[in-house]
Amino acid sequence: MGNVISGGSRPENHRDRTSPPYPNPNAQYQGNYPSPYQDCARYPYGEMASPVQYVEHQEAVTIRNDINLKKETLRLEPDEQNPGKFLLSFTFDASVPGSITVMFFAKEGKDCNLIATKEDLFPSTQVSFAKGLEQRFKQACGTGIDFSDMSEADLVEANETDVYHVAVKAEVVSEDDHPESGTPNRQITHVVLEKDHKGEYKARVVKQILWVNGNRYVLQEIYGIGNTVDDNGEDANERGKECVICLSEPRDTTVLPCRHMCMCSGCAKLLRFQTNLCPICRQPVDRLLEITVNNNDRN
Amino acid sequence: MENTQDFSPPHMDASRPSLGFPLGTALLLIIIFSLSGIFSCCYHWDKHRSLRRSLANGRPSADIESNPYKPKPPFPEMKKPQNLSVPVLMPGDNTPKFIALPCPCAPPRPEKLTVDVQTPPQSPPVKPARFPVPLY
Repeated sequence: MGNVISGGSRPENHRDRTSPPYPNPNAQYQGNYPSPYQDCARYPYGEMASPVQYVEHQEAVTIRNDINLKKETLRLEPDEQNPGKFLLSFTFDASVPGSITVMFFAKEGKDCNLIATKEDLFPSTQVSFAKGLEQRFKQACGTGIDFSDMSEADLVEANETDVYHVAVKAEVVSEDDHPESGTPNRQITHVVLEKDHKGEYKARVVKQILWVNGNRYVLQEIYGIGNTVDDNGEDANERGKECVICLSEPRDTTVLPCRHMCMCSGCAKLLRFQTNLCPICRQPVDRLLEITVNNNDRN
Repeated sequence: MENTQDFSPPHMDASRPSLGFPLGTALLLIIIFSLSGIFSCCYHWDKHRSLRRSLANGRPSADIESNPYKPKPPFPEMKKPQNLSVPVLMPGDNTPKFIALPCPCAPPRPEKLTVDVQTPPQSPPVKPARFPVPLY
């Protein structure tokens, strides 16, 4: 909005060229100004000719994911109708309809396609789902995994040969609008079944793979985004969201590879000249990733 | 008549003020503010240098809106596609909470890699037959 208004009037453009820019970088410490994200757009850091020795700071392009399996909700539940069998259950969000395929003892074959190695013992099941948030998935009775059909040595052997015990593939229904994209976007969750001290089997998510536009990514969480992000309370929103250096601006820069999101863009820009350590964990910083938070949802 | 006698030197006028105190005060203030300015410049040298660099490069156009979402076709202008991490926006969220690291397909580990090194039986080196050398 601000950019469009300033672009329309010529006297403001003429005045902006002669005088130095109004949001002075040194004025970061004088408190919050009305639109900090508009100020970030005026200084794209990629265009500045910075020396090689400094930490790379870039503004990131955000990938929009269509299906998200919440890995903290994934667990094994006993089958009521079939004693000894266990069913997989989890919660997921979907912005488009698609299908979920559960494979047991899956392995990544050629071109990273999932192949079930024990199809005869544990057949793969595929279930379609509709669009919606906070959907709950549970396998149908009789289609789960039975631990009596295998021994513990089979699980250990599967771990050694890069075979995952359970693989959940959430796939988007390919639309006709983009026929050129061959592979649809999908998210693959690799699960390992472990026995705890009580002797029961537990499911643990070890990796989440994301396929977007034919590219393969590994999903990793960003630390520093607290639970107050989704909180609607006014006081709770402000607590814990400030930069750890200046304590006034909101956090929008993530340090890589430790993935701590703890700084605002101004302090991250200044941090490059003073040190290459993360302010939280003191690990060496490879890159600084500025994430633009979308306050007004365009979709 | 002795009461009216003054002890001042004959050529010195007592009403003329001394120049030492104001001059010393001025010099002291000048030194204090100069050193303070020098130390302040040293402390904020990074900001000053970055500010001068940003002014020297010229102000980029404020009308360009950076698109926060990746377009559907693959991004051709990625400088380092093998090392570039991108934030992932999950459905229902306004803030990206995940980072996607590019991980190209690794070739699967071959099962039971057996290296059979069959060494051929090495025949003993054939020594050249020694012919009797006639001693003439």
